[in-house]
Amino acid sequence: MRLAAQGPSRRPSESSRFVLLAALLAAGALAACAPAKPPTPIPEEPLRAPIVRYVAAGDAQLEIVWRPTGPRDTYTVYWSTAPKLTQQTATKVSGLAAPRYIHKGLTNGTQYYYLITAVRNGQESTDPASTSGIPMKVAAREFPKFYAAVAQPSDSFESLADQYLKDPQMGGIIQDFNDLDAVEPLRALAIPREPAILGGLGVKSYQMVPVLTYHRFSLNTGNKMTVKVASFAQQMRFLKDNGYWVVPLDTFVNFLDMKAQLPEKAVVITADDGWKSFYEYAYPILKRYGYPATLFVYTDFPESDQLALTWNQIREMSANGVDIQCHSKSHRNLRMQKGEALQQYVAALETEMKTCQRMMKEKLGITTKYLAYPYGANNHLVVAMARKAGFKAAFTVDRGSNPFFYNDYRIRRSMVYGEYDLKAFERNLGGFDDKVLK
Amino acid sequence: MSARLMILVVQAGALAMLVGGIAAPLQVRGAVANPPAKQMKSGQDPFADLAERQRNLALAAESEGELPRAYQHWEAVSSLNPQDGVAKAKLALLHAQIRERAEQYFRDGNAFYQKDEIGPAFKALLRGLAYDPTNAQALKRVKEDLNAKSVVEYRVQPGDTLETIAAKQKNEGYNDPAMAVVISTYNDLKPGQAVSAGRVLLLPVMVGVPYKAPSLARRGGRAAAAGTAAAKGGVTEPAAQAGAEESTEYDDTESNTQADAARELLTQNRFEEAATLAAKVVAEDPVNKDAREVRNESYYKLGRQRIQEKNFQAALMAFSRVEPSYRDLKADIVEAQGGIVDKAELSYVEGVNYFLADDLENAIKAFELTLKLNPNHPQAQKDLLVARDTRDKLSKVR
Repeated sequence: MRLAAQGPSRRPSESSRFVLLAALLAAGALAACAPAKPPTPIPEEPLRAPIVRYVAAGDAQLEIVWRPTGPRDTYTVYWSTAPKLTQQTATKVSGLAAPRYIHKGLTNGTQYYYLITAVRNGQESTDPASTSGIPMKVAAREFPKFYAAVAQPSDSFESLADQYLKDPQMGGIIQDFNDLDAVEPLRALAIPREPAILGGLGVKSYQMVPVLTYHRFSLNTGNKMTVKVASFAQQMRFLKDNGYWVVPLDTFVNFLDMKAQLPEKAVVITADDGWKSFYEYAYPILKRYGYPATLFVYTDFPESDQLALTWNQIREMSANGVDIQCHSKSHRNLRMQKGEALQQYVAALETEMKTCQRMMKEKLGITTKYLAYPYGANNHLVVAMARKAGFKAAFTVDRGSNPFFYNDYRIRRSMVYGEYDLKAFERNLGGFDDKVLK
Repeated sequence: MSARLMILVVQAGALAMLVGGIAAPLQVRGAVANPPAKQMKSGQDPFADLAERQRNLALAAESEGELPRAYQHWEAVSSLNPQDGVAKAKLALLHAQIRERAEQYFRDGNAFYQKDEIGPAFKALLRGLAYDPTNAQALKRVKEDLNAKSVVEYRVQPGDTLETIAAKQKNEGYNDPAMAVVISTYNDLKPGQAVSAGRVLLLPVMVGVPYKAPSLARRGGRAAAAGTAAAKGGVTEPAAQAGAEESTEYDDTESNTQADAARELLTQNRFEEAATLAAKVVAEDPVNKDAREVRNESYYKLGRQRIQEKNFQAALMAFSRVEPSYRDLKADIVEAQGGIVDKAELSYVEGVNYFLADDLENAIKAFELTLKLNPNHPQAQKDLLVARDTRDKLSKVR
């Protein structure tokens, strides 16, 4: 499909989008990401309860840590030893400015229950987050290469990784190392402090990491390059339910350089071009799951079309953890074109790469490190020019997963097409390969 | 870089592609030793069973031969129970085994590498890295030296200019002084700027970039006979645009897209274009069966077409590009040879075929015979020099 030939699709009005979204929610298609909200021009997030990161147990104390909801928000914590606490029956601690609460003077071995709300301009969020914890004399032991930690009732592999490794996406490594399907409360786990199986290379096999690529999203119209939002939500849910770990691009590139270990079922999510529908539909779902993603933008595109992202939207997503990288300046095919003189071609390659980098710096204040070739098209000269421009890695759309020893400048990505069902989607996920080491 | 080394590097790149195929499913988790969690009682050590579970995981990893993973689990056991003698002994034993195996594999890998045995070198170095992922030299070999390169280093020789370098670095796809613009841009030099001897320049590899070199145009598309990597780009005529990329479409894979496009050309009887495109796909993706089939069929049909046109030499050239296993071409070749009255030309074509088959000695003999029969043969003299030069370079690196 020729990208430039994609005509503007019919955009549903704000109100009809609400109706469609509500219908999808009712049908359960978006159950995992509810309550997804329609796009808002207001950069500040809508008021909702915080998401709890972890509960750290100590001797006669618990520390509850959550994600901040807004720069000016305060928080209220309700606590009780009764499991069925309500905001009316529990003890209230209000006016907390930081996204954490250290609850001291507790009885070891007793389970404490909490509700947490965010407060903005005197208004309290209506959907409190709930969690619990059990203080204990020794909840964790620290060794040079490991932590041994007792899981709290509210713990998941993500929360343990967040607390001990400062990276929730490394939860898969804890899961793999303990060979468990799920965290069991009060079970002690070993948490490696350093990566050991670098590059996913075992004695008999090596890891193949998939990088998924999306382009456009739509509420009701799917086609090859446009994925319906319900399908996308289903795919993200599938990853969650089937033990996949979505890892940031940076971590993946470190894996390729054999400097990092990834969870055995790791996957990277990317989207190309800079369509507004990424912001409207995919971004809220990714955020709900806490999945990192990279958006490759060609810098001529933002604000050039009503279907394109605005720089403000890109800035907002960048500030909220979406990794923004280069997809060239104009989205031209970087291979030599018919009628193109060599000098003109070399200059064009330089312009496509350097302008993209410069615009990202000017508009977003970021230094880009990665390039996705438009149409995935490249040749040795394109690769060489990408190196010269300072890109650390570059991405094609050659379908397949990547072992660590794959060429950093020809990294495969599998495009997810709009017509994919979950089986087709699953076929693009990775695994381990033993062909060479057999 | 010699033609052979270039081919080996390309093969190594292809190897990386080959191994990147369909991934095996993941193992079922929790199959080792995970008894149900017990409710912690007051005063009970919550870490009591962790060491035991780690011990079981260590033993399981050992039995699978995954020694580095076993070592990590034994470290956890030993951390939790420093007095555990078995864990200590296991750590000492595994440490020695891991080191010994890593050293052995690195030794083997480097020996294979020195002998240009790329596949075995890659496999051995990969195995070594599984035991010792910190070996920087092995990692560099696996990640860089055994992968297709996009940039090569060139040390400037006395008398070199950017133009002469661009004219002579054929293995990197350079074949024309006008390509100096690539070198100057890449090295942040002004066009025509003098470069001093000894300076190391970075040369982007131009193989596959469809630049058309005037100097090769006169050779009537026989650039491949020179066996240069540049020839793989299918260069034929000055500033010609055939083969230039203009696809701006997405599909499953770039190579599949191009293989499909080549097949489409074949169905339209555009044999030469189909063959060129399919050959390019095969150069990048040697295991692409579709592309290989299209390439073989296109060259075969091109050969038949050339016979019809009474261009028997071109027919033989086309047949020489069909893989022997694809179909029996003896009758076709005899038919084409019969049409060539000029024995010098026949000898030249033989030389080209030998060259393409990496049989440099016979290629040289055939080119020498061509020149004996026709001392003014337009291509044989040049190709003889290239063949001798390639042979000499190869003998130096071996």
